[in-house]
Amino acid sequence: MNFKTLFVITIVLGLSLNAISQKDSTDFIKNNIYAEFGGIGGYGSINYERLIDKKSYFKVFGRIGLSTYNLKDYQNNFNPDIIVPLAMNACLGNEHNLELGLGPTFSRIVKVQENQGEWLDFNFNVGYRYQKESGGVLIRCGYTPVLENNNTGSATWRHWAGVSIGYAF
Amino acid sequence: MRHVKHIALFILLLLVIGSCKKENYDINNLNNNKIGIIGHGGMGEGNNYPINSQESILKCLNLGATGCEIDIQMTKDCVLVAFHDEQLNGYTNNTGRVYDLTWNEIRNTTYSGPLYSKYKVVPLVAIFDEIDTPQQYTYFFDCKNFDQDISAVYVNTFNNALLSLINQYSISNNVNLEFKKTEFFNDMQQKRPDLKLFVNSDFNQGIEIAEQWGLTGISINSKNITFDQVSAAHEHGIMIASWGVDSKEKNLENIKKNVDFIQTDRLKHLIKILK
Repeated sequence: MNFKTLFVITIVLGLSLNAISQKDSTDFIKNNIYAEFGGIGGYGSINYERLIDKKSYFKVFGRIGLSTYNLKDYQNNFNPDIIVPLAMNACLGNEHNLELGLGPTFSRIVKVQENQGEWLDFNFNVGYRYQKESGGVLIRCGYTPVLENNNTGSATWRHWAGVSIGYAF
Repeated sequence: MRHVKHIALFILLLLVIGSCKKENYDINNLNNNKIGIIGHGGMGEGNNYPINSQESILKCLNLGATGCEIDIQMTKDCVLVAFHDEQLNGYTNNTGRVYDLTWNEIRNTTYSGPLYSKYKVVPLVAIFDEIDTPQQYTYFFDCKNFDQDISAVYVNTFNNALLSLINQYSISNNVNLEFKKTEFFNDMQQKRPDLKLFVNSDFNQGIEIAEQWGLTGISINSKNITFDQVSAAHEHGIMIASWGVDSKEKNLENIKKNVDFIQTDRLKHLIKILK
């Protein structure tokens, strides 16, 4: 699949989710922070999530994360790899939610061949989320496959999973 | 009460200082009584960098290792490639065997892990092009010849490709060539009797082959060799390079065995305790 197409689908889907949901509550907490082990950040990531919209049992969050592999590069200089997973997450449920999400992941991995370091890939997420309306502990777990761009006109599915723990406020 | 706190802090400080003190090992081997710190495929298995990638090998050398071990295979069109397994499947986004493919069919191959990283499988020249002074390090070339047809022509071509690389980077004094099959020793000794050759084998067979062919040493899985066997090899003038060293405990065990080179997966630890 063409990556530009996928990017457009993500944006359109995000906007669609926003459009179909109608605000019915202003007291639902709006901010989440969590650490994800595994998941769309690679080995792990720290994340901020903002409630975009809510309708009854349906909620939409926008997520941004940050992850790295090496803080020092192959020359042993401080020059961290940077991985930024973005996602739109739709949750269906009250405290116990079915979660579906997708989005792009931007990565800048420090390499010997400098022109091979920056990539745009696509992440997906199907899983379970525990989150109370009043906030507090947040727990997620799910299957988080990634569609990796091979830069040769093809893409490869990478099967992956993640578990998150965090706080909603 | 305040005194107690100060005394406790002082004891803690002594413990910290004590734990930082380096242990002196009584090393007695054929490598000038020093153990060569060799990174397995660079930084070793389990590191964020895949073994044999450019980044893994350069990081290993830049951290202060004596050198590195590199797995070498030859493509169908005679390009030497740094790669460990027989099959590209599983460990990369490509499929097939290196020796069945041309370099053009491999050039876009990337390692599977870690996610998003896409480190490339590279030819050997791409690695050596990036090393500022290749002559300052020690290299173990683990020549991977699997079950493909080992004809005299193949052996000749493989060894010529190795020699071309060794000459190109002037590293004949720095390279240790590891083979399993005697056809390669025979051919290489005829071409370049000055090169250092190691047989990758178990101990008894290794001693036999090393003596018969006048090799420099034996490369051996560290779990298959004892202190006494290392001493016996040294008495015969045969060096020992141990591999399969994948923990801090095994680093220490191998130091105590007096081996000449440790090809380790726990490189930082070995550098820390030996340098």
